[in-house]
Amino acid sequence: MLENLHLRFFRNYESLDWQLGNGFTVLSGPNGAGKSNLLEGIFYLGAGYPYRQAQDEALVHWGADFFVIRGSVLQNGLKYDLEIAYQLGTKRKITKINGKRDLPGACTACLPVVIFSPADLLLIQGAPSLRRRFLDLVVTQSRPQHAADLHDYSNILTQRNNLLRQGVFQRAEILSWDEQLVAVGARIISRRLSVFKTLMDLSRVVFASLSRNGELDGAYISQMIPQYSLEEDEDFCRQAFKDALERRRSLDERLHITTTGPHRDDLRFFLQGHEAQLYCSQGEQRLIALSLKIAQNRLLSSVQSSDALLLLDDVFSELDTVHREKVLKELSRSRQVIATTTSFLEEGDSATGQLTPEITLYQAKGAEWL
Amino acid sequence: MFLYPEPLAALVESLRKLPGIGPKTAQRLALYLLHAPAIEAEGIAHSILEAREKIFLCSVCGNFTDVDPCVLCQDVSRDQSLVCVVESPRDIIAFERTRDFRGLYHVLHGVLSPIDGIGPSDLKIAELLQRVQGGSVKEVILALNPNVEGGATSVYLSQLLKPLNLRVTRIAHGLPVGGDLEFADTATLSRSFLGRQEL
Ligand SMILES: Nc1ncnc2c1ncn2[C@@H]1O[C@H](COP(=O)(O)OP(=O)(O)OP(=O)(O)O)[C@@H](O)[C@H]1O
Ligand SMILES: [Mg+2]
Ligand SMILES: [Zn+2]
Repeated sequence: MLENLHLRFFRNYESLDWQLGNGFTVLSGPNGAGKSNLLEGIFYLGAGYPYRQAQDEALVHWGADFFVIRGSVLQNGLKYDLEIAYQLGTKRKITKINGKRDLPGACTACLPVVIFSPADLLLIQGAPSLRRRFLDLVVTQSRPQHAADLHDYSNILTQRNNLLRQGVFQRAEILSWDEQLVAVGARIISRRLSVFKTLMDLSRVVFASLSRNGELDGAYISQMIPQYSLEEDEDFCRQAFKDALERRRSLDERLHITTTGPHRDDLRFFLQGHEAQLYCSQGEQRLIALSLKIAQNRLLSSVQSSDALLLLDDVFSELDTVHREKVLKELSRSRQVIATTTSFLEEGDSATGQLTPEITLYQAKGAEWL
Repeated sequence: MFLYPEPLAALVESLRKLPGIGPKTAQRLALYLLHAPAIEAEGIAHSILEAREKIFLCSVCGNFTDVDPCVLCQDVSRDQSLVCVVESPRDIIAFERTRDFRGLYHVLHGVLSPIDGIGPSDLKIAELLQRVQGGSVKEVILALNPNVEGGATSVYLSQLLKPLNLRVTRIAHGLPVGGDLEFADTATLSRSFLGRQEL
């Protein structure tokens, strides 16, 4: 559980300290009060990226040249001090756990977060990179070593692309980078496939309970193998990636870029066999995204002994009453939930404090208030 | 706007070129050198000049030395059939601290890194190939940092060395990801020598 949060020059916050509580905490305040920004800060600490479509630069408080997010987490009786700092000029992001430098993404294992927000729709409608980073987050949350591989992979890829851009090199040199890329890439793909399979199994069940509009399905798409036939076996992935690199070698050399690999893969969702992005209604797409998020939460509670921190940003304004109740029931078992609302709360839930002049805190007894 | 007088500005500029020194630190160091007793500043200048004059690269292993071949290469009690390839002279200091390794070294002076424009010809690779073809070397141990550049360089070297009928091994990486040999403790380094693997 997240015990306290410190924001410095993050979005509209110059400086904020917040001692958090257990259970349901509601942030109530008018439009523009900074509620979503607060959830974004917490999410960023646990995930390493902003949940809305934004670049890191946009998170820096206007006029400042860096931001810092710090939080203390109590997990399985152990305390972790997490910190992510970002510098505008150098674009450097520094992650620290208990004061020691660590890999980007290392906080994920200490602070598992799941966010529900209107931006979830982007999982269906948005760019492939948004789906990849969602899947990588889910993978890292259940298998923390994924963070190290993602970090290495992106370094190797940058090096390989730089070599391609130089135009002149020995075959042995590019093969050295290829071997690294394939070894790390195969681990990434294999882990993604295995976690995605579990995630889809859970999502199907959740979706069936939310909607009678048909059966949900999902596929991991890779250009390495046309058709959807990648297997999660690591050796299989290594061979497939190796062959694909070889096949595309002359193309890569012509374009000066690596055109195949896990950094180009994508996810696709289907309702009754029809591709969701192309055929589903907005409401159906929303339910698919919601199912994925609930599945993420279920997956986390099956692998982590303590459950995730749930962040609910405005979601319920977009759901009808029936779905609202189902979702609330699903989430009511969670130990720490932070939600935002613009509406005033019912009596019975009395305000527990004022976080900023505009944001009032409520400690809700249950989920009924929504 | 006030600017430093030319000689001081030049000193700040020179110091700024040193690795890890930003503009603020450069100014602090420059002002320190001006405040310090003249003899101290002269001592520093003298050490730099003397080191530059008397230290050169060993013609055999590429380590810094003031005699050629260096003392490590001249030491006949060391196993002449074993060559450990490292990125920088600092790594030799780290390995020598373990006292476990009794072979010879070869310093590459860098690793492959296309983003920094470093390719095979910028490293002491031709020298290594020539050295092992002499016949007395039986095993080459690749002991580069366990980061992606060290990994790619190891793969590159093994592609060149294996056809030469040599045993090529890589030290085991019980080291943290992104770690540097320089920071690894002695016990970790000793263990990594035991766990070296055939490539
Ligand atoms: N980098 C930044 N620096 C300073 N202010 C920012 C920055 N980015 C966004 N803001 C401001 O933060 C304010 C609060 O935004 P936020 O999305 O948190 O509001 P909210 O409370 O969630 O509102 P709503 O109820 O409409 O969703 C906005 O008015 C926005 O202009
Ligand atoms: Mg908002
Ligand atoms: Zn020598």
